[in-house]
Amino acid sequence: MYDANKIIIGLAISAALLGFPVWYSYAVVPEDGDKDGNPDYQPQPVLPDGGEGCIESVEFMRSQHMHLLNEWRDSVVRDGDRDYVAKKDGKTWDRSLSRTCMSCHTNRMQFCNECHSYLAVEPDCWNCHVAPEKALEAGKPPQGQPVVKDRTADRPPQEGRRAPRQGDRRFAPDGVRHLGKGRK
Amino acid sequence: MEKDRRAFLKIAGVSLVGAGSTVPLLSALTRARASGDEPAAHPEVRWGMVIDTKKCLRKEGCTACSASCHWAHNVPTMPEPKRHEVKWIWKEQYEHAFTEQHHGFTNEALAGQPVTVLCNHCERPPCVRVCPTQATFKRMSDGIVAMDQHRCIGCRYCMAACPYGARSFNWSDPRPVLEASRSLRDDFPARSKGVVEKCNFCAERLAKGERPLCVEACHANGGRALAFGNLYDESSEMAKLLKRSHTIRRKPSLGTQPHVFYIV
Repeated sequence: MYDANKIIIGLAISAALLGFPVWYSYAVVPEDGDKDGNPDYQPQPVLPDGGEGCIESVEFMRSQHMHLLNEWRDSVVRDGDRDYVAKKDGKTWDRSLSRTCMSCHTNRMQFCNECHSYLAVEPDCWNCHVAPEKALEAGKPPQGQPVVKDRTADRPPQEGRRAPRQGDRRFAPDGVRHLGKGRK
Repeated sequence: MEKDRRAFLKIAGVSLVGAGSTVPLLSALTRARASGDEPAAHPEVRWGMVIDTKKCLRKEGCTACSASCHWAHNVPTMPEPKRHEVKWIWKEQYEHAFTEQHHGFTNEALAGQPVTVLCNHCERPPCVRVCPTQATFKRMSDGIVAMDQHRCIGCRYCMAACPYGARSFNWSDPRPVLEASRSLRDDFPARSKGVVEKCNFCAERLAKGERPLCVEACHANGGRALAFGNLYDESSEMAKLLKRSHTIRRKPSLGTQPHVFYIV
């Protein structure tokens, strides 16, 4: 073979370059687990201490929380129905991500994102909804804001008739079902 | 063909009875069809608002309603208001708000004056008709024209359809603006880039039995120009005002039947 040295060196360089994805993943990134190479790594969402536990059982929340939140979203926005009765113990909760869920799970980075980043899912809840820590930074209304006195405590807001609520006969939820029928 | 008197009388009698019974039969039929189609005479709850422009103008430069509304609903004050303005309740020049009333000889008290305007929560909302995803819809229970931001795809058909300019598009993410002005609240969602938004008649407050915040703010500031209530509740502040005063609505010829009334 003529110029064997040059050819062998060239082949070695080519093999090294072509094999880059293979050897790089072995050399730098651990095969499994977290960035520190711990293969047994499991996401550790920070749970609130004490308290009475979540609105539903842990197993239910683990597997179904996304469906629960979607149902909450639809019933509040489309039907105006804000009361959720827990399957676990029949307790009634406000169907609200920020007021109910986040009142215990206050840190979304340590709770939501812990699993979501591990599984590379990106729900877009927080594009609009405001996680508590963000609001804490923003704080109080800006200067010069009009003082809104809440006078609802001492007298009914709508004279003569209270606001419709879930359970009222006429407060039949509306929205999607009616809309499908077209205009009259 | 020969007919005797007897046969002629028989046919005449049957025809008479037949012709006579068609009218009640037909009317009964049409009634039956109509009752299957038509809703009850009127719904029980239709939220509405009366805006007294005289009282409103007495408080010159007052922005209590819009400031409190925008603060409570995470509505940003965008840096380029001409292009990117987002608004739920605002002031519009009289001639622009009431284009059909304007005739060049408007009285001095009103000509060129700012009038408080917001979404009219129409009985027949054109924005709802055009929305391809039903992101905007009319709540049958109380007539509020609401938005489901989760469904909005930002096509802006509703903005083209709304004759009152009551809808705003988020050309950019409002979050940085809200954070910069330190007015971001966590008890009401903000919006993302690329969705349309508008007044929701404080549906979240109505659910708790409270009046809309603009009305509360106006009363707390001593303006008392805004009144809110159920149009079909005889005893409400609203119904009394409507009975007592002459009120007009914006662009009535379009047939949208706004639920916001004006005393001018």
